[in-house]
Amino acid sequence: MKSKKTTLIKFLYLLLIFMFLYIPIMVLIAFSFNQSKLNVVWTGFTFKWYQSLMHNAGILEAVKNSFIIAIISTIISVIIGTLAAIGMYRYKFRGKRIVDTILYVPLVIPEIVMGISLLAFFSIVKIPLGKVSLIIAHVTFSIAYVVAVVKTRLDGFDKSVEEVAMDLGASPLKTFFYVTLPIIMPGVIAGALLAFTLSLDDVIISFFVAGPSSVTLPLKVFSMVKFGVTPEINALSTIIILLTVVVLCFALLIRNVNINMKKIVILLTSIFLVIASVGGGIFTYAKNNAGPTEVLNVFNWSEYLPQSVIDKFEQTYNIKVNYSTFSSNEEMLAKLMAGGGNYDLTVASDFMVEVLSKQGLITEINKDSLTNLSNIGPQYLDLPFDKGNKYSTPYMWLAGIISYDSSKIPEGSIKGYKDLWKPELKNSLTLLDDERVIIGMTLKMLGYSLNETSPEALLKAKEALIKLQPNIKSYDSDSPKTSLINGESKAIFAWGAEGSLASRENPNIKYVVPEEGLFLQQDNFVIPKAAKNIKAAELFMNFIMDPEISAEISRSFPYGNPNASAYKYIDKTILDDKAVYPPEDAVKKGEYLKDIGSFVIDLDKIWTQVK
Amino acid sequence: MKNNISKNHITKYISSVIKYLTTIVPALLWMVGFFIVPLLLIVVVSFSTRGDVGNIVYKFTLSNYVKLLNPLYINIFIKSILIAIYTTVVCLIVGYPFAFIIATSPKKYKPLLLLLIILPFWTNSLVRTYAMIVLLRTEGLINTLLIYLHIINVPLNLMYNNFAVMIGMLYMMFPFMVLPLYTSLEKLDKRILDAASDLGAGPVNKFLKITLPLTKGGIISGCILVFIPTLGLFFVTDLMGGSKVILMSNLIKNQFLTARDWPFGSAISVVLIIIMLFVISFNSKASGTKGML
Amino acid sequence: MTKSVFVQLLNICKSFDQDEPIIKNLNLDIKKGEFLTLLGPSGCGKTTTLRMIAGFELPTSGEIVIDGENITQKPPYLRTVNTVFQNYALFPHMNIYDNIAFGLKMKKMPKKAIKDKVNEMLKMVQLEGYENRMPSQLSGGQMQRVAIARAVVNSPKVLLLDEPLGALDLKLRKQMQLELKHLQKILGITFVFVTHDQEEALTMSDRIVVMNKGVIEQTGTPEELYEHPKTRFVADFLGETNILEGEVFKLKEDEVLLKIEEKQDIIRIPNMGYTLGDKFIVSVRPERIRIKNQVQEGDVWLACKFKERIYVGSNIKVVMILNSGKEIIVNEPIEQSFIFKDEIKDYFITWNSNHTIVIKA
Repeated sequence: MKSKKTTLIKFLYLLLIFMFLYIPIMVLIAFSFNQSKLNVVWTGFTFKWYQSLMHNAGILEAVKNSFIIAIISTIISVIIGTLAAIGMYRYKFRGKRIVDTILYVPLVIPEIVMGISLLAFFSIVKIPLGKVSLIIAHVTFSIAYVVAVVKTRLDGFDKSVEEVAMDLGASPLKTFFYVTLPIIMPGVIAGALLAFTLSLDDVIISFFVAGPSSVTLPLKVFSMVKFGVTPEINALSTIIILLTVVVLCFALLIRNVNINMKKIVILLTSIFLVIASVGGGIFTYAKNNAGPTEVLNVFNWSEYLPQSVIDKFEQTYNIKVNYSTFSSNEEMLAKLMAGGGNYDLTVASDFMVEVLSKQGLITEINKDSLTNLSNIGPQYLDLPFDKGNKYSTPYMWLAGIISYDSSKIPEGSIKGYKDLWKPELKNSLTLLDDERVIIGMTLKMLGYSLNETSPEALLKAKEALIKLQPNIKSYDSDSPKTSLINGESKAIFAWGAEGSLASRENPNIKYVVPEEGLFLQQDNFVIPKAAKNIKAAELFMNFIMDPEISAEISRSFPYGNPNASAYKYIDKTILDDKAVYPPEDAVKKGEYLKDIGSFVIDLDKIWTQVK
Repeated sequence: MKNNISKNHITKYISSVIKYLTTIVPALLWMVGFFIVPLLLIVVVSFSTRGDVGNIVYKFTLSNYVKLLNPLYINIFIKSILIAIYTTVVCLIVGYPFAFIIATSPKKYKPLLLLLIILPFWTNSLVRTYAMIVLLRTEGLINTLLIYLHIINVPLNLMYNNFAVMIGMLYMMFPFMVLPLYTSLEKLDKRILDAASDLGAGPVNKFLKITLPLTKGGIISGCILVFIPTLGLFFVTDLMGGSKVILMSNLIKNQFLTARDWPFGSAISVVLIIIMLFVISFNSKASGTKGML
Repeated sequence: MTKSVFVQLLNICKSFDQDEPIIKNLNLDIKKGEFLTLLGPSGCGKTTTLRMIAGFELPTSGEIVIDGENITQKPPYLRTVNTVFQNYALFPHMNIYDNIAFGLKMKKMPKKAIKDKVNEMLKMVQLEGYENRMPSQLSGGQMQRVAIARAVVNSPKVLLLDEPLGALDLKLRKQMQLELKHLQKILGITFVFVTHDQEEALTMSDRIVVMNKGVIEQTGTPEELYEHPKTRFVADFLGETNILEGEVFKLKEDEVLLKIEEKQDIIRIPNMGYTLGDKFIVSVRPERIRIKNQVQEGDVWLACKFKERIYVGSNIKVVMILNSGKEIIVNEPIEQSFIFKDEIKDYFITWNSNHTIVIKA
C-alpha cells in the first residue's frame, strides 16, 4: 500500500539530509578549481592550486608522515586485534567481561582524554614525541575498532568448519591458516581499512602526541584551516575525499567475498604494489634534497619565517629543517616542558626567555660561532630579561597595533585601546588569543602597567574585559589578519606585521598606534637543553642574522627587525610603515612583558572566566 | 591412573596458557600498557599540585577538584553537556526517520544509499568542518546567497558562537548516529510487523509498540556514539567557535598546552571519564550492539 | 561371524563446569565393521559421547580405546576417526574437489594419489563432474554427500555421523538412509551414527544404544530392543506402544494376576518368582492388539469402550478406552479392521500373551 505520496515524502526527506551532508563538500570541491583566492565568487577554472599543492614541501612531508604512520599502525593493530577477536570468540574464561570492556571503552572514550593521557604517559616514561609515539597512539585506538569489526564477522562464523578441519587432520595452526583466516578475511580487511582511515584522519590524539619531525596530514590541515586563505586546502581536501571514495568502494566490494589463501596473496601483493608506487611517487616529490643526513628541528611562531629562507638554509648547509609552529609562548613552554620535542632551536618572547632560563630549559649560547651578532642594533642587546645575551639572540621585535577596515569604521574614530570598547563595535573585533597580551592591554587601558599584579587592578581588568566580550567576534593568534581581510571582523588588535600584511591585501585597512602606550615584545632565538644538534642550531641562528636573509624575512613578515645591517636591504615602504616601526617616542613609552611568576594563575582564572 | 591425571592437568594448563598467550594476551598487554596505565596516570596527576611554572609536583591535594566546584567551571560543564545532549537529540530525531527510510528502501538502492552515508563518515573530519566554515562565514556562501537574493541586508552572524559549534558537531557526528540505527532497523524481522498488522495494529501502534522497542539497542548505541565523543571535540569548538566558546574539551586542551596546569586539566578529564562511564552503564542495561559496520 | 571389539568406552564420565554430569559412567563396546546407532532424546548425551570419540571433548574421567590404542588424550587431528557433521560444515571458500581433498592434503599425500582418490569418491557419491562447484551452489542432499565423501576418503577406522540427515526433507531422508546403509556395507568401515529418530535407527542399525539422561538404557539389535525392551523408557521410545501399570494381586503356581491401572482389569503373566504387591510395567504394541465384540478363549482380554478411529493410509488407528479410563491405541491393517456398529457399546481388546512385554518397575 505504498502510496505515491509517501514515497515522495520519503524521497524528499532523504534528499534534504543528503543535501545537508554533501553541499558543503561540493562547495569545497568546486572552489578548489576557482581562480580567486577567496572562496566566495567564481572567477574562473584553474588547476593552479593543485599544482602549488604538489610543490608544497610541507604538505608532502605531512602526507608522507601520515602514510607511514597509518600503514605501520594498521599492520600492528590488525594483527593484534584479529588475534584478540578470535580469542574472545573462541574461549571462555574468568574475567572475560573485563577484557571485553577494555576492548570496548576506546570506542566511546572522548579522544581528548586518550590524547592527554598518552601525552602525560610519554612525558613521564620519557618517550620522545615523534613517529613512534604517534604509531603507539594510533595502534591503541585502532585495536578496539579492529576487534569490533572482526567480531562482527566472526558472529556469522560456523565453528564446525574449524572442527571439521581438525577432524580431517589439520593441526590448530594449520586450521587457522587454511580455514579460519581465509573465511574471516573480509572482516579482517574491513578492519584494516577502518584502522587505516582512522589513522589518516586522526586529529585530536595526534595533536597531543606529535613531535617536530612528524607533522601528520590532519595536523597540517588544521593549521592551514586556521590561516585559511588559499584554496590549496580545498585542493587537498578534494584529493582526500577522492582517496576516501576509492578506498570505500574497494571496501564494499570486498565485503562478502570468500577468499582462499591464493587470492589473499594476490590481494596483498597488489595492495603492496599500489601503495609502493603511490608512496614512491610521493617520496620523490618530497625529497628535493640529495638526502641530507643532518636534521635540525626548529620550533617557531606560526607565520614568522618564510619558506624561502628555510629552503636557502637547507641548500646552503645541506641540513634538513623540520619546522613546527606554535601559537603562543605558553604552548611552546608546555611542549618543551613535556620533554617531548627534541627541538634544537626555538623562539621565545622576552619574559619567556626569563622563565625558560629560570627553569633550566635552555642552554647558554656560544657567541664565538655567532659572527653575525654584531649586526644587531645595540638597543636590542643586553636587555633585562637576558643580561649579556647569555641565552638568546634577538630575532624580531613587535608592537601591538590596532588595525581596522576603514570602509567599515570611519577613519580616526579609533585612537587607543579604550575605543575598542565602543558599543558600535559590537561583534566586530578579533583579538590575539593570548591572556597576557589582552589582559595586559586592558590594564594599560586602565592606566596600569602591563605587568601589574595587584588584586584590585586585576579585578578592574576582569570587569573591563567582561564588558568587552560582546564586541569580540573571535580570538586568533595564528592569523588574525585573515578575519580582517575576509571581512569577518572590522578591527583587530594584533602585532604590527599582521596589520601591515593585511593592508597589502586590502588597501582599506589602516592602523593606529594606541595612545595609552605601546605593547612591545622582543622575540629571540634560544637553544633548548634537550637539543641534539646544537651546532646546526647555532648555524641557523647565525644564518638568520645575515643582513640579506634578515631583510628577506622582513619582506614576508614585516615585524620590527633588530638587525641594523639589514636596513639597507629592506624596502623603504616597510621602514616607513608605522605598523612595523612605530614612531620613536611611542616606542619609548612602550612596555615589555615581564615574567610575573605564579601570578600567572590569577591571570589564567580571569581569562577563563572572561571567555 | 593418578600420574595420568596430573599430567593431564599440567598439559591442559600449558596448552590453555599458550592458547590465551597467542590470541588475547598481546592485545591485553598493549591496552593495559598504553591505555589503562595512562588513564590511571591522569587520575594520579589530578591529585597532584602544579608547580610554579607548570611542572607537576607530586604532592597529594584535592585542590584541583575543589577548584572545579567554582560556578565558572560548573557552567562550562553544564554548557558542554547541554550541547552534547542537543546534538545527540537532534541527531536522533533527524537520523531515525533517515535510517528507517534507507532500511526499508528497495534492495537495489540500499548499497548506494549506504555508500552515500558512509562516505562522509570516512572523510577527514577537519575537511568536513572546514567545509562548514566555508558555508557559514560572514562572507561565506550562505550569507552571500541570502544577500544576493535580497532576503537579508546585513550578513547573518553564523560563525563563532554556540550555534556554529552545534552545527559543526551535528555535521561531524550525524553518520555515527545513523549507522547503528540502520543496523538495528535492518535486523528487524519484517514478519513481526506483518504479524502486528494482522492482529490489528495501525502504523502508529506498530511503530510505538514494536519497531521502537525492538530498535532500542540501536538507539542507545547511536546516542552513546554521539554523546561521548562530542564532549571531546575540541577542534570543532576551536574552529567554529573562534576560541570564544569554551567547552570542557577546550578547557582541558588549554590546561595542558597553554596554561600548563596538568593537574587541573587531569581533574577535568577525570570528570569527563566519570561522565562517560555513567553513560556507558546505560548501555550494559540494554543490548550491546558494539559492531557498527 | 562374530565381530571383534574395535572401539571401547571405559567408565566414561563427563561434566561441563556444572556439578551435574552429562554422562555418568558409560561403558560401551563397538564391534568392528558394525553400524551402531546412539539413539535418544535431546540432551541424553549421545552427541557428547560422539564428540568424545572424535576428540572434540575430553572425558572428565575414563578411557577411550580404538583398535587397541588408548587415544583418550589425543587431539582430533591425530585420530584416525572422521566425522560427518550435522550441518555438513563444508569449507565455503573451497570448491568441492578441495573440500574432499583436504584431509589427504593434510596427510601430505602426493597430488596424483589425491586426484585418484577424490575422483573415486565423487563417483561413489554420484557427484562426478561437480569438482569445481562451490558449496553455495549445491542442494542439501548434494552437500550431504560431499560431507560424507570428504570424511570417507581418508579411510578412517571409525566414521562418526552426527544426525547427518536431520536437515533433509522426508523423501530424501529415506533415500539417504538406504544409501548410507549400503555405503557402509561396501566400505566395511565401523559407523557410529547419532540420531533422535527411532525409526531411522531401526532402519539402519546393526545395533542400537538407547541413551537417556547420560546413561545407557539398553543395547541390542533393533529387533531385541523393539520386541524385548528392558526398561519403560526403551519400550516407550522405540516405536509406538501402550504402557500399562500393574501390580501383583494374586499368586498362582505358574502365573500371577496383575491388577491393571488399579481397576478390575486383569492380565496374566508367567510367574517368574514374583511376590504379592510387586509392581510392573506392561507394554503391548498397538499392532499386536485386535478388537472383538465378545470374549473368547485364552489370551489376554480387556474390556473397553470406543473413542476414536483414524485413517493413516497404510493402516487404521483406533483409540479405545479401558474401564480405568486409560487409552489404548490399536493398529489394524485395513482389510482386518474392526467394523464398529452403533448398537454395541462395549468391546474387548485382545492379544496373544506372548506379546505382553513385562518390565519390572
